[in-house]
Amino acid sequence: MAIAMRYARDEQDAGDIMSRAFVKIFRSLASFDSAKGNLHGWVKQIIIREALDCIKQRSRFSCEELTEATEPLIDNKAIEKMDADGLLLLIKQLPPATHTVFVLYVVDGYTHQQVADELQISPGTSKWHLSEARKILQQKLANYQQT
Amino acid sequence: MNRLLPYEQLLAERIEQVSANGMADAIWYKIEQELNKDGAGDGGQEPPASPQAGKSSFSNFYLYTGSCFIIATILLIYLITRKEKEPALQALPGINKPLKEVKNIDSRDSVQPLLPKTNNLIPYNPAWEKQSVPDFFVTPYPGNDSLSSEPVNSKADSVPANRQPTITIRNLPDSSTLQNNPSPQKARGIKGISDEDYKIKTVKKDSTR
Repeated sequence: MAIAMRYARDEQDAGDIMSRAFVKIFRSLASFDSAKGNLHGWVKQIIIREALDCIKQRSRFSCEELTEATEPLIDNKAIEKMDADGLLLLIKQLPPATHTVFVLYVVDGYTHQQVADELQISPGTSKWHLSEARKILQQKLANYQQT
Repeated sequence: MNRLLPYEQLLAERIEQVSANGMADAIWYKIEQELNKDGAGDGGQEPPASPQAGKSSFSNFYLYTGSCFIIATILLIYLITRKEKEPALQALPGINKPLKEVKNIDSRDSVQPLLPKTNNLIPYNPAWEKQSVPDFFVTPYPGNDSLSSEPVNSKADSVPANRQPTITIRNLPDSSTLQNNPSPQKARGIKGISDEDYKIKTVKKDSTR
């Protein structure tokens, strides 16, 4: 459920993603091959793919390429102060495409090539979205610290 | 760009802890509904059959039955015709023997049973062997050992004097098997009464009296 929650806009959306993903899981359970990977990874993959299908239907990924990037300085203390739900809300304030790339790369550990393959974009576009996400988060965390 | 920043690692750990309390029941209810829909289609609760569906299954039944009947009839006809042909072939015991076994069969033994019955009644006369060679020469079939590459001369001069007419027929029955089953000859007249026992008795007709 946590997987669907970090990709979905709200709980309702996450519920839809989960139900569709589990229907797919039950249907294709016979085709699961334990030699190729563990069950947890297989289920996670299906949920992420279902979430990405939803996002692709409602969002458009810009085709901007990253040429230069400056890594923003964000203090860990700002994040430590926030709880999980607060951080999730913060991430969901990112633009949908940028939010998706950020979650795939940072939370689920995808590489830029894998992100590009899943979203049918170029690795450069994936890098650009990550850079955008970092810039926006730096600003938002700075605002949060001030308040 | 390709490595995670410290704050990102911390953020990822925190987000992993997110849980949707109270959503599980709603999600399971949705999953159940979806699966029930699929189950109805896959063989769970079957929807009522439409009239068209019934019609097609009805016609399919007749199609299958009809085709089975036609195939069975064709098979039966084939078997009957085959059985009718088989006795005629089986009358020749050597017909199914390999070629090696029926090579160089003596013409006297092999041809005689195949000739018409009237010819079979004539017994074999050994004196025939001493008779002069006839003016015909029947060449053997190709593939037989007696086949020579030399051209055949039909004149009697070129044939050795003691050579008998050679008639070689391939795939003929074994002579020994045929001799075991000679064709029965009907006995003439009544047993114990010869022609001499009969007397011709003239009877005067009433009109001449």
